[in-house]
Amino acid sequence: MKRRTLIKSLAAAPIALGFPGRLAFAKSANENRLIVVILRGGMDGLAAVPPVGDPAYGRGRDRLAIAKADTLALDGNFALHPSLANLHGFYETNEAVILHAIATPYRERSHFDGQDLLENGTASPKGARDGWLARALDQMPDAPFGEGEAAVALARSMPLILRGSTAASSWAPSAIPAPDDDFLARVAGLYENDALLAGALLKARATQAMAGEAMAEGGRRRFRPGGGNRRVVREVIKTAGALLSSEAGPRIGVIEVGGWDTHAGQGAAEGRLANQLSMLDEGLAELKAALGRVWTTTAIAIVTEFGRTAAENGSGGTDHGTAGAAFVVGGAVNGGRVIADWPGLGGSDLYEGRDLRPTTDMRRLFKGLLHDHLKIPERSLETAVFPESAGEPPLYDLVKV
Amino acid sequence: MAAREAAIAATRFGLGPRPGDLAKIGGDARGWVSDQLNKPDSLLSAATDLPTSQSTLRKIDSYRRQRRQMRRGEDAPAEIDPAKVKLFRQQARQTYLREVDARIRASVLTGAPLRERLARFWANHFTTSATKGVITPIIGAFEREAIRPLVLGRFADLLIAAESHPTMILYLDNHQSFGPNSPIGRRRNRGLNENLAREILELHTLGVDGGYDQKDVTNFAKILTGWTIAPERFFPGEGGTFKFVARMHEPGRHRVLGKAYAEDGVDQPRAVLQDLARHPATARHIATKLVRHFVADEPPPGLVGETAAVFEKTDGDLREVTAALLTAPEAWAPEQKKFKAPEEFVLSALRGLGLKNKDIETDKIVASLMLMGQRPFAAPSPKGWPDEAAFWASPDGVLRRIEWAALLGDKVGNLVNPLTLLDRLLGPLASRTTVETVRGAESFAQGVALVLSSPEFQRR
Repeated sequence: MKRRTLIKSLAAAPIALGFPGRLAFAKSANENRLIVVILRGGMDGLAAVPPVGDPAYGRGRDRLAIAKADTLALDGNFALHPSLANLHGFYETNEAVILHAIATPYRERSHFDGQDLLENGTASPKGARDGWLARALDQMPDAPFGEGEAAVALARSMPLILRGSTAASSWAPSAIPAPDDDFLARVAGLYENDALLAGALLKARATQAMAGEAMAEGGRRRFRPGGGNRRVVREVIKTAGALLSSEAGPRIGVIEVGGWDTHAGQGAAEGRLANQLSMLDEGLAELKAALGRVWTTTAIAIVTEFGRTAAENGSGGTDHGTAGAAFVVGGAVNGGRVIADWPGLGGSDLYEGRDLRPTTDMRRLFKGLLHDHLKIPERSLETAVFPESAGEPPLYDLVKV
Repeated sequence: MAAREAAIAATRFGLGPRPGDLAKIGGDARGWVSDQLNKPDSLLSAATDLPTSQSTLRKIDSYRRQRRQMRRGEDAPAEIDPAKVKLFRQQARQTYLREVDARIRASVLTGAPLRERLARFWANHFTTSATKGVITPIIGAFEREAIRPLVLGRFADLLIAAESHPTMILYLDNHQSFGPNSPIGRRRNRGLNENLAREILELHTLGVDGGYDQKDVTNFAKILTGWTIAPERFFPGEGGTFKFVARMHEPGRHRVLGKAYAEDGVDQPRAVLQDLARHPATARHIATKLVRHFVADEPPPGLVGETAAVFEKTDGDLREVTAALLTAPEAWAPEQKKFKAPEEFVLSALRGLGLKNKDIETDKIVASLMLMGQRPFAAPSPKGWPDEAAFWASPDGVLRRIEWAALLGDKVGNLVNPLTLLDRLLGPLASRTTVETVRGAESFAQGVALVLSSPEFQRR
């Protein structure tokens, strides 16, 4: 793969921008947006992206293998699950890269350790107490960001990937009427000696104002919790799109989607996993619509903590595995490609005789995006953001440069 | 000093004081704690009007059987009557809400809040979750049947009760795990589902670094096959109870953590669980979680070591372990190191305001908890709710609390003097800044909202 040219990186030199308004958000000279979608529970990469060209695919998957005729073709070797029609459309317009046999350095099979490692960016579950995206924020060319924040997690609580940065906030829609500014100012006074609460309140208020403006009419959106997953995801995506497309808003977003731990009744072309995939697929189309004009500068990385077993288990599902699939989607993406150093699914090809063997380190994907899209120097990536990852070079050119 | 210890006891080891509690605890904070460890369980174990897991599971079983029969019938309609489906779902949700209601009332009204805290801690350690639909109507019964009676018993008994409860079996799929060489496994070509085995090792006993490997998980899964729930049509009269079905069980002797377990039917998993309960890694894992819950996000290693030692020495006697932890000097340190989870925050506010049984509006409380990200009985994963400020003190989480406090202040403000409330809730724990800010409030309502928003009230 070729490296970005020096001339192009010089062209991205910072430009000072000022924005009017109540909130003094520090601006990034880099207008690019990065969204990380974390699929919690372990998405079955062999169902989402069936390796239809591998004669061993389907062995041991009597009820789960997806017939080639049902799939959406990619490059002959790989295809997409029929529920991923929008993603397939993005692939055809060169706005999606499909990665396969990819995994973090994690080789055990705990969700929680797997997710910790995916988000802390080290090679061990307790390798860091902060997240790689939080560390990356500090390495962006225009950090620090002043009193605004550069990143937002669409979650009620801060996911590990963004923990540890003062430039990150979290946001979820609320149905409680908002208290007035006088009251909030008094609470801010209460918190003046309490760094944790003062910081949290400041960020929440800034993000709240931003979301209110972005959602138009200043009125707070009504949000009814507890409905189906699908509705929650849709609401979150709309808010994410509104925040990231607003002029003074954050440039980086994190979205979490649960429900991928398909131990039982996974289904094939239809069924439980198919429903999950179609929720994700609809979400992508909605995200594109919500991002509007900034779609062209957006890259969305869709990742999961691990893949699942090559064979089905005893209850029509799959157990925790190792390598799986990942997607990079967006208007900024240099797409229409499948990136996979395919290890094969024959008995001896499998990792520990049961899982798809990893051939691409997930950190390469993240490093590539941080380098090409957010302009973070390679040296910082190897030291501060993903320590001890020198042997895993960035995947260059995932975005158009 | 005594007043400070009373406030620490009520907030750190309870669910916050009700009016008059701090005076009642008075100079004997430690006695107040130890009394609760030696009393019979609080209100909920006596709640007899709530359905057992067995009766609910039998209803589910019969509903499913009807559905199957309708689908098979020659001239049956293609779709089951949607009104019936709706009714069934409504009933499940009603049962769930009755459980939530009973639990909230018990927590707001109880004079033995430490017992509520222990019930929650252990129910969270052995997480089952209403995020999985079928669990919704039986999750309250799980806590009442398997957890509450044993929170001060032997850990091994609690472990076996939790893992063999139908709710856990359904939550972690063991009813769908078949020995590949069992009669049913062979005839229907079904196999293992290792979910329950893995989570027992990783989350309930040894901990993720406890020294087991994939082979141990697989073998333990084999041993666990056959632990399931009796379907009424095969076991008339026993439907909905825990059942060992030999025809699902992988026969033979299997090795876990280096030890071979001979074929022993229903007792083979029990033997493994007994050994896991005694394993030093389990003692350490449990001690770490207890210390993290009651003392600090970063558990002091010395206290973890001492607690684990008591666990090992007493063969997992949880009354002894809890008593040792709650008498340790570190547990009484003046600094409030723990950030309340949303449920603890909401319940302590309602207790502080002295809510009576007739004032409790469960549906509103549930809606508030959902907005703060902690729907009752609905932990996001088998790992349970996180127990750290880094998770709960997010910008959004903090803002939701303040908004809720503002709403509550607005509602009750005219009935309560904020300075009285502050003294009643925090006593000497209130900082000068907080006292001054509350004193400067423009109205009772605003003052109450500020008390409930104060940094000291977010912590315990």
